[in-house]
Amino acid sequence: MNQYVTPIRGAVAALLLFCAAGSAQPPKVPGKVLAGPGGRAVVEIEIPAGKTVAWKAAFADEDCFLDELKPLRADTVRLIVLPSKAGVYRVVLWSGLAAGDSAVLVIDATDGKAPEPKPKPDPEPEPEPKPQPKPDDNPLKSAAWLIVVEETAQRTPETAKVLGDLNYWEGLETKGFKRKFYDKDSAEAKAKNYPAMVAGTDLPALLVLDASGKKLTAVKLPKSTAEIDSLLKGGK
Amino acid sequence: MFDQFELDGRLFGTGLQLPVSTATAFPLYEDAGPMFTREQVEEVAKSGRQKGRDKFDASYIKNQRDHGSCQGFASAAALTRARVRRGEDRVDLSGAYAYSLVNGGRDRGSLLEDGMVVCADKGYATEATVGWNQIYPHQYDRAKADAEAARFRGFEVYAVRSELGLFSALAAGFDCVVAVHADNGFMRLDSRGVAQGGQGPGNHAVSCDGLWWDRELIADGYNSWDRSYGDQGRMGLTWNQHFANTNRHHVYYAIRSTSDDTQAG
Repeated sequence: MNQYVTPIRGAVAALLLFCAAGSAQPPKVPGKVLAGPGGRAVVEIEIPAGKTVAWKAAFADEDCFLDELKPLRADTVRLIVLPSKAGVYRVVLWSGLAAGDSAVLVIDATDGKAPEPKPKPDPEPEPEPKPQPKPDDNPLKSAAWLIVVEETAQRTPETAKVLGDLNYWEGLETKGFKRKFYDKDSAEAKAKNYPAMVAGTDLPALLVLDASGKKLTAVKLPKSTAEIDSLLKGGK
Repeated sequence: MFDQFELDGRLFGTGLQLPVSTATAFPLYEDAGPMFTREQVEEVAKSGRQKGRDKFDASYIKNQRDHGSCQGFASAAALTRARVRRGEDRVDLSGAYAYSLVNGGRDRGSLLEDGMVVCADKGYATEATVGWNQIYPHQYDRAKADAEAARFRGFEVYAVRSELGLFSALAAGFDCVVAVHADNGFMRLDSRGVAQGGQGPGNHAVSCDGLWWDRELIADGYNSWDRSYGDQGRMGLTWNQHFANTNRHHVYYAIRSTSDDTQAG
């Protein structure tokens, strides 16, 4: 059985006793993590400011191995997941004892084939009777391409600032995102159907595609690179 | 013949021919835009975020050596950067190839307009295929180079005629090819990093990839005389010092967008 390793100690059941009202600050978990049997995934969970995060897995090591890696950033917990059997696995994470201080990380190891099994009975009670509704899945977690479609003739200084931040865009490339900027009237953009994909979105538009070219979203180009980062993390 | 200058014991060529007129086949950037107001341009320049040298390091600086291939090197370097700006992989394009197609078989310089026509219509081969010294087509594998060039073209090239047009293009993040007059003064930079000299009709093509502000608008220019020139191959250029002279005789060019590399993944 995987064990929680971060500072909060004590029986998980104690959480039930101390669920108190307060400002909810759950660990920020990504949407459903896909990792088929035999595969692996590394998940980064954001720790609320000033908090620590503990976690507990409700499954056996032989079904799905889970461990904590050294975090890359001080405000994160990094978990590695290696499912060996198909199934859906859940990890409860919490940052405090108040209601809403917990979140559930869902690891989908069904490869899209097996029906989602019922959660295995947990030998220990859940930290909360009804876990906080998990955050919506990040629809952009499979984002691979960032396409900007603009009317180049109408580029503003603000747009130039975002598009011209070459160090930022090249940094995204090192994180696995490819990018390309197109004028809306270019034959190449039209051949790839990008203007149609951003129809209804104000230009300049940021079109997010997965690796197969499937549209994930199209939004007006954010006014800052920080907002693009937020968007890619599932924010708005 | 074109002018040559000695720097650190090495000879560097210029090679920009004076056009008979400033007629151009390209649409005007001032008509196409984006045109910013003077205040907007100055705001961008003062922000310090559109300095080309912060985006393209010294590895982008090329060396035409003693040939008159400045036009080819300037436009190939500008297209190289313009491609990177819009997300294409870095491919260093050949200034010698660009020059070889317009020099008429003689190393006597070339016209900016001719080079930009090649940039937009034909594209440029890579530096790996056409080296700096291969300034005539018979010196390289023409079929291979031409096929390669079709992958690397300027998609939108505009003629720039005015100060506000030039600095708007730079503030918007576009690469520009310009004419300067290289003379002995041009070999020195002042305390702001601005090249001196430049009092002439324009005998040398260079490129600009950004701008900054230091008491006035300064175009972030780069030469093709290796890194020993100026500040790691770069120099600032101002309207009054440089462009006001050459603008009367030459048209400048802005590359607003590039074509996709059809062989990229």
